Amino acid sequence: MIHAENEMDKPEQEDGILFNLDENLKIVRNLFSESPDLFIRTFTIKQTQEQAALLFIDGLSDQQAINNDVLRPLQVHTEDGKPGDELMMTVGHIIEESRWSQIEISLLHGSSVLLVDGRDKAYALGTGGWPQRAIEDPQMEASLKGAHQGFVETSGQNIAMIRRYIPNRELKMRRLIVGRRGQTNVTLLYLADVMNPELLRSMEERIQKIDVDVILNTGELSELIEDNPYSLFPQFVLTERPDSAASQILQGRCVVVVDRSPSVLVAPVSFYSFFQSIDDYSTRWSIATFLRLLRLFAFITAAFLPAFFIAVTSFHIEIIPLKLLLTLGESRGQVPFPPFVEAILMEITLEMLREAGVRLPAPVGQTVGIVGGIVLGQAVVQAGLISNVMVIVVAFTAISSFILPNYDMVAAVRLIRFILMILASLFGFVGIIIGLMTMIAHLLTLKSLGMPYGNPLAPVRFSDWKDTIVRAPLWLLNKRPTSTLAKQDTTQSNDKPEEGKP
Amino acid sequence: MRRTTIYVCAILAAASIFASACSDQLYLENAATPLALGMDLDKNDKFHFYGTVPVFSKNIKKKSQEIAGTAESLRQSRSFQDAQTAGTIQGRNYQVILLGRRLLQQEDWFAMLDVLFRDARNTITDRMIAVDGQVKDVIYLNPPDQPLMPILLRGMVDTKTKRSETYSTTAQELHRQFFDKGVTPYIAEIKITNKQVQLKGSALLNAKGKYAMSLNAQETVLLSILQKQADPGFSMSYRIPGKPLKGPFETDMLSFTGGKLKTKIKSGYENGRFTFDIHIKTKIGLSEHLFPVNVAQDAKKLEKQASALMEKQIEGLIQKMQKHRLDPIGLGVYARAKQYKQYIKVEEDWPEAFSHAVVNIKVELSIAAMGPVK
Repeated sequence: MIHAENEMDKPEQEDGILFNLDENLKIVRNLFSESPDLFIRTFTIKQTQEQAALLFIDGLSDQQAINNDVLRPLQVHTEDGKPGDELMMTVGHIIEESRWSQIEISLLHGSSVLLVDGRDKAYALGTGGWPQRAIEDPQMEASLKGAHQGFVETSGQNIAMIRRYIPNRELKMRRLIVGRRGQTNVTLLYLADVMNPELLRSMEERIQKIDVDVILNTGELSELIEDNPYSLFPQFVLTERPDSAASQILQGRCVVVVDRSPSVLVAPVSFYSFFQSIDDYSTRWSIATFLRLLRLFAFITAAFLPAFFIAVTSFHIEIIPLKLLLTLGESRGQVPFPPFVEAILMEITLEMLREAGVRLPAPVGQTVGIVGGIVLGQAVVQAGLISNVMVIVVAFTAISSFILPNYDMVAAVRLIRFILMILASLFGFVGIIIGLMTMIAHLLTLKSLGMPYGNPLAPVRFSDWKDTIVRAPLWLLNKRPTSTLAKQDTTQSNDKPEEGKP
Repeated sequence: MRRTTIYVCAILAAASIFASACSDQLYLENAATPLALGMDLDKNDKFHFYGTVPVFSKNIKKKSQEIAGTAESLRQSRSFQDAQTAGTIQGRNYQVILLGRRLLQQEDWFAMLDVLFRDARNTITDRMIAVDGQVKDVIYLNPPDQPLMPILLRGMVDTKTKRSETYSTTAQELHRQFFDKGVTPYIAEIKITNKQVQLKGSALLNAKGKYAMSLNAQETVLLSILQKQADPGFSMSYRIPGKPLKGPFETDMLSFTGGKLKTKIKSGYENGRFTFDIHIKTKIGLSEHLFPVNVAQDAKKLEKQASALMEKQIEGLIQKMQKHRLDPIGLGVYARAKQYKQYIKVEEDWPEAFSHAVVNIKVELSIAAMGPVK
């Protein structure tokens, strides 16, 4: 992006638009050779009797707008004018350009460009209209009580959706362009009077440093600006919910909207952000607290249960309670594989099923579920290949990992599970403990946009505990989280609602 | 350069992890985990061991395999035990340890259990059970209408311990009782009658581990009361003297359920003898009386009668224990705490000193409930 700017800043003779229309068109045809989707329409402007050419790319611009708002007013004879007059067009967004590099970008982003004979500037008309998808329920982060609008692939619409939640002039934006070829619009949204300027500058610098061809997705951007890209854990929350994004902005975080991508990036976040869902705030605080604890428990079981099973059955049989020992022994006794092989087989099968289900269309996806449920759940046990306790363990693990609201965190847990399983099969409980300690140590050193990942448990920030593992009643959450270093820390001043009297 | 070093280190670390691993890996299905260990002496005083190993297979009807043999010691016999099963014998899941009567009639048999404590892989939470008879009979009993013998015995001992009718003395607890000089050991006791395992109550051992006497269920409850171990809910029955007998039924029976106990033990030393004043106070609920009585009126009288009977039984129990040189109550612990100067002189042979001690018992029962019928 910086390179592109530098090139543009050079005052080059060839870059400027000439007065002669024919020569200009020659340059255009030269620039866009072998681009049959570039349309050039030449005509005479009735108003000023000048020769003109309208350039646009098929499919990227709105045909209706070009016909009705550009071509018609220019070709219908109105009052007489002289060459050089302001042209009559019913388009809201007109930019005068005088450099070919600018015109090129405008054209490629969907604007139509009007070249007029005898003028050394062109008009970039905002007639962009590319294929768009309707706003739908977010797929990855469905919510029960939250809004049913998810982000789409147009950053303008996404920003508008966020602005609907925060109609405040302090909601500021910084627009950056990323990618040499992609020229992706990346917009940084934040509350100017809340967001910590240091964090904002850090984010901006990181985005500006990116030098790639193109960014297709927010995930790519996130990998390029992460604090520790080698870590298994995601360091930014990617969300496709405008209400979550707005809520994060209000807490003093910044949101990065990437054009052409239906998810936005939130920073800085902590480990516990991945266990929160927007529904937590619309359900009663007690049930929300319960759900958050349940998710943390699910995280632990999803990561540790198969490893624990392996460790117990291959090292520590003495800790199995007597009655369980008999059942376990009976079901393990007929299995031809050692516990580790058995567990790995089942876990890999589960991962395959999950991956197969993601790619397949919904009607076929159901078949996968049936095959997985019946063939693997039942037949494998009856054939004596896998013990039924192992099937239960795998099923429990799968359910636990589905509880976690964030896909990136689930993905991390899936990998951690395999590492722990290997450690458990080699060293038993000692291995699991080593894995656990390493994981905790790693989590403690991890950072998200320079802020500690373990916030607010490490470093301890008591005031933030009200809205991390538990969700305290809303009237107690009067402060913004300290982990965002917000400039303005009070959000509200509510008291407990009074008991109503008629 | 630095990056290469890191890679090399990582590969070396991974390789060494995979190469080393833990050597004592043992899959559940490869382990033979005997749930019961039996120890006994035969007629020629030769040491025998027994074990019950659960069999993990759906196709084999008999759920357990018994192993047995003679040996000099438990660990020395391990290879011989291994030779009898498909897996390797692990002492990690013992539920019960059965001790034959003939073994218990010897002194110093406790040393045979050394391997249980010294090899930390072995469990020490297994319940110690004395068998009135031969261990062989219990191990090979395999009644078709009962769960596996170790499970049956463990359940039997655990549930009855809740009612204070026996002791669930673990190997660890037995170890403590042996090494605490102020107390003598006590363990659960079973007997085979009519091819059925029956819980007899408890067996009291002397300081050297030799079997001394047995207590039935009610006596065990009384001992538990003296030990302050009895939980509320224990049940006792007495025949009240002077009540009429009708027909073949013993209609002079009174049963009651004890509440929370307050047992106070005061120790002293007078005239060269230790003295102990034991004051037992509890509220009881009548659970059965086969004779007509107006409890509302005669409560005081009934309370006195029951207290006297209980007092008498406890006194008898203590006399018997003194005769056998036993102190399972652990009065030596009280003496050590309060009369240390005197105690330390007789510490090495506390049961002997206890046999000369004066023990005064006072029982105070008060009827708190008489049941919902008149």
